[in-house]
Amino acid sequence: MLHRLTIGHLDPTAVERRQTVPTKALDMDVVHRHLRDLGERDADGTMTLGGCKVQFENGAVRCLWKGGRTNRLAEEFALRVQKDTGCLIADVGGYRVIEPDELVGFSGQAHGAASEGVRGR
Amino acid sequence: MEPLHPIGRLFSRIVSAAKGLSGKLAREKPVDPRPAMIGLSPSARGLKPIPEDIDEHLVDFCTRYWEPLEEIAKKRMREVGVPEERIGMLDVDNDYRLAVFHPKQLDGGGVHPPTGRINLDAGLFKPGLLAEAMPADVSSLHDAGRASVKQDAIIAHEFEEGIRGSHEAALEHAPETGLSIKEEARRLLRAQRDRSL
Repeated sequence: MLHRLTIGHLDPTAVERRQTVPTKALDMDVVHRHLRDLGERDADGTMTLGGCKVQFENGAVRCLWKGGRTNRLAEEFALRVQKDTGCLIADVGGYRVIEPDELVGFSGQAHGAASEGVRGR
Repeated sequence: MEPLHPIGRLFSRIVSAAKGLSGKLAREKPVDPRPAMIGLSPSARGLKPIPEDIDEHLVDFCTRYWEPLEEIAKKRMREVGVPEERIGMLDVDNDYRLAVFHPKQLDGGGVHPPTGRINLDAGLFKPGLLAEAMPADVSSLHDAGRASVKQDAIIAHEFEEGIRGSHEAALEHAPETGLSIKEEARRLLRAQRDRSL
């Protein structure tokens, strides 16, 4: 029903078994730099991307990708972190590794349009 | 009249005493059963559920009641017409058992793309499951639905995703699925489609 992007140095064979097994932790300086650029803080102080909470787990980062509309901010964040760290992007619940060219991010649309969020209006 | 034998007198006194006692007992009010709880309930005392975190609580509940949940979900998938070879998926959180209900996942349901096998999970009962994903009116419509309706909606979504190969295609086609789901579930799915695509 819901699909989440998991970004991290993940074991790809574990992803095919629907498991998140990081082989090493993400560089959190890179993560926080891109979160400062793309994310927002909600009322609880939690970082969000497109209105969806960002979760940190075992050195990897996770955010809602698809439920209704596709979360382009989460895609853009994943693409930037992947580019800077060489990490893996996965839809663990969907049993698969996501190739960067499967994600749209901000390409083809303005940053503002993507910032409307995954929920739409 | 001949006087009673002493044993006869003793017997008649015992009988009259027994009658008096039974009459007295019959007149007494029945004793109220002992209360199930002494004092106020935990929620009335302001105590929070254990575990307090909704996700942990759901996982705990669904793990404890997994067997009936599994039976209900399996029965419903068969009733609506999901083919047997698509019912249930290996649950990696529980020793890879083949299960229709996965108690430790919180997405509502899932599909294994290579085989189209589907499952439900603890997200079925999560308030605000779609709060991040859908507009507020669609999310609240989903929350207001009965669990049996949400169950049908999730089964249809996952089944269509397994057949058609993508989340977007499932959103588009689930309201008109060939499965015999409840009409209320189709309404939920139409609302999701109309506000997502």
